[in-house]
Amino acid sequence: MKSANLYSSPSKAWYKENFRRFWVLPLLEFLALFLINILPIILNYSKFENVSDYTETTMSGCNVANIFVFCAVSIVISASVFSYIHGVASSTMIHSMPITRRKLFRASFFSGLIMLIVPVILTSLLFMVVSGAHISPEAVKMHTDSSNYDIITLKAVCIWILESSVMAAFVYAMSNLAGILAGNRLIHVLLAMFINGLPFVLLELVQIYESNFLFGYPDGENLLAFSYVSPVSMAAGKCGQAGYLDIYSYLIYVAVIVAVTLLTSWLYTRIKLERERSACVFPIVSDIVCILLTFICMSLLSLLITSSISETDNGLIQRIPFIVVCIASSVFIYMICRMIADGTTKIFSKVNLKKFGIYVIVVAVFFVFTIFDITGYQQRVPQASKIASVTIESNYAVQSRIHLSSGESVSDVVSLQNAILSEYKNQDFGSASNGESEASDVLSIKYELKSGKTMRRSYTLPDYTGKNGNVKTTKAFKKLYRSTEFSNENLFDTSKTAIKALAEVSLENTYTSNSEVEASEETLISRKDCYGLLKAMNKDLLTMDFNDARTIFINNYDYTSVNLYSNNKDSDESKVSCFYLNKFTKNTIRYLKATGYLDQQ
Amino acid sequence: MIRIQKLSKTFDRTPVLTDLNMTIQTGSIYGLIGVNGAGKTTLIKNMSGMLRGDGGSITYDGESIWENDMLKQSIGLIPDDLYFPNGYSLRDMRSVYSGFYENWNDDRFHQLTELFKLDEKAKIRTFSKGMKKQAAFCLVMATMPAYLLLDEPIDGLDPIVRKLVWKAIVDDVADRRMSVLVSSHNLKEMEGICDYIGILSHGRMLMERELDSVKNDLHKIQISYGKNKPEQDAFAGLDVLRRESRGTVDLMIVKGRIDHIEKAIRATDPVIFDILPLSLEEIFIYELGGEDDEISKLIF
Repeated sequence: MKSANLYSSPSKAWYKENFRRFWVLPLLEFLALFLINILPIILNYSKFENVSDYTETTMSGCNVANIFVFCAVSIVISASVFSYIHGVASSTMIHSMPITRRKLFRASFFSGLIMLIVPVILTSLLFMVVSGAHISPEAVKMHTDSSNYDIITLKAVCIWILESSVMAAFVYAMSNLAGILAGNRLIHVLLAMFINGLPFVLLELVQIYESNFLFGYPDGENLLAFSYVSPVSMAAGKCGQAGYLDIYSYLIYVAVIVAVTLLTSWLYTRIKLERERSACVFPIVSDIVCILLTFICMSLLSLLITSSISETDNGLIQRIPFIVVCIASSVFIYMICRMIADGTTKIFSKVNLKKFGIYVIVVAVFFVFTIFDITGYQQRVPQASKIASVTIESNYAVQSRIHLSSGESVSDVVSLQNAILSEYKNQDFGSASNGESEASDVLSIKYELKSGKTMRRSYTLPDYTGKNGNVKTTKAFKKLYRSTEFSNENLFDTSKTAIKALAEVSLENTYTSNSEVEASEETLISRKDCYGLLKAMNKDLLTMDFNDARTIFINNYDYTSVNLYSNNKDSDESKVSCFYLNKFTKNTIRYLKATGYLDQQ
Repeated sequence: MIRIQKLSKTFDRTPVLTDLNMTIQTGSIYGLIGVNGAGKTTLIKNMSGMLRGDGGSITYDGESIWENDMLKQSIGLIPDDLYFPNGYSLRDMRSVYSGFYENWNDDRFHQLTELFKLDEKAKIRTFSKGMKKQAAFCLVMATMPAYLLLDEPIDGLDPIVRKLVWKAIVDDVADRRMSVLVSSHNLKEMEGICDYIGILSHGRMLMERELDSVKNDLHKIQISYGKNKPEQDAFAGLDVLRRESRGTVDLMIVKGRIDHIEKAIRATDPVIFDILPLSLEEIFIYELGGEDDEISKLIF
């Protein structure tokens, strides 16, 4: 007798089997999410202010623990639902069953995806349940606006579901691709981690190479690319933006997930199952991974060694020692990678030698474009006529950024950059150590060109004394510093709007040898006194010259300071300016004493 | 009917199957013989649709097996390496198979598990190797396959269980005209069960014959004339594959119809004339024309 009621369909049967075998994984994911996100709120249900910052971090998607859980569970679920491919017996049994590879892949993929997303949805439901958490009566007394604690809103929860699901699905899709390319379970997991981490590692390596070999390459140049390369980095960089969603980026991520999944499905219909048990099912993948892994390990090792033994005064690495170390480490690391890929120590053959030759060519091309600067990056200076405006960051300025747009100022900045490059080329930079305390400046220049493009440079410059070198640079910088626009931009904005935008102004004490300006502790400046304070500070700034600014910069550790914050004080990003109190700031000191912030002496 | 034409398969440039041709008639049992590494398992994996040949074709009643899920509903495979998910019982496996195969027969399954005295609730990991084979047999046979592929199925089974397994297979062949391919490295095991025998060596089919016709075609004859040996050669006109003289007694392997052979020999009035039984391995040795290493290795 046929038992038709037991038959569903092969796809449904496979869904059922995956859920039956791997139900523990979504359960563990849910428990982890509960412990990380919900439990802290439950424990502080009537004192929500204790966990409000933490909850905001979570709702904005940049909770590191959550990110780790999503990444780890995605890889584990992928390795589980596709584990049958890597076993001889399981592969034989499953692939001889009445189901095509395409349907098998689809059933495996979606069953894993469901197991991944369901805990996210359940957690979000719990978020709505605990959204009624409220602040304590004491907190109500201190803060007039309790809407600051309206963090768990329906909108924020919906965005959290979307961001978390896309992040998990992205890592999952990449891990599935790794699983189809890999020949065994261990390589599946390792390759999944490799593929997911590769964009970050490569971007970071490019950043490291450029900043160590190209004079003027600014830190964080690839930051934008870094944050967009994956929903993981997008979420990690989104702190403090709960309730905000970059919808276009997420649409692109979803498109990437779909494309990668379709590619994986196509590859799955073509893999030769007899190659399972090798490291990679497609030999060319094995070769590519060997090359990439060798490059990454070689770079890290060589940079580490040569940065400690052959760094120039500008913080750059010397090329020749670096290349020598690269060659030696490449051979060694490639041999190890090859042994792992081939599963044998017998790797010395013409074929492998040819493959190593390909690696050498790839690295040589990379070096030509990075450390040898074939594109002329270092010497590139825009024409003043093509510049709309320029922003300067320097330790010599009080303001964190000086924005200049007049023709004269722009020309001064271009002249400054030309001077820097000229003295660098002629190696006319003096040593930073000249008997006085080190005062090397990190000068950042950001050009906004009329074409709409942006050009950034960052230079670590020795002290501007004009002694033992850097004569032109010092002269050019002094000219810029003394220009009218620079001086005006260096002043504090005393308008009502600007003062209202300040989150906090405080007097912060550091250890100081100057008892005249020693404050007892951190002292908040009342908003009504801000205007007068800023006016006094501006008066002092107008009387300071370049040498005064240098003296302040060298000894800033010894000063009490007035600090102005625009946003959350606890975040360094929000700090606007730091004004040091010293012998050059008599007006400011007088004002602070008159208003009682400093002791009268 | 299962037809394999010019099937070739290489593993990383090593040829495993080369231009293989094979035909399995509907309702017959085909014994595939070959030493270790001959390509039997690879052939079966290709026939089950798990692997894809690099050349040639495999068809079941004209339909190609590759990525054909409807056709696979009619194919049952018991591989040499069995797979049961960790922690699964026979009952759990029943659930898996019944979900995949629309022809699943629950009564048949219970009947077979009772026959082999297997506990459906026990975890399969507690079964012995032989019991696992029996479990796999119960599951596959309950899917009521039209084509059954068995890769060394009776390894690890005791003689009684072997008889039960063969009986169940033969019954299905007779009742449902199921087509069976059985692979083995032991020619003796196949004798008495298979309708056809194919010998695989280094990925090539050395020989493929219907057993009955081979047995009817080859005879071992013992003959003696005493002192009165006839002048003419009594065996002129007969296809003598092998002749061995031991004194006045000749031992011969003759190919042809037995009535013709008997008539020709009796006409020479021998003192002794006996037709002796011929074993399967002797048949194949002589068919292949002498001491063939491959066949010799198969005899044990």
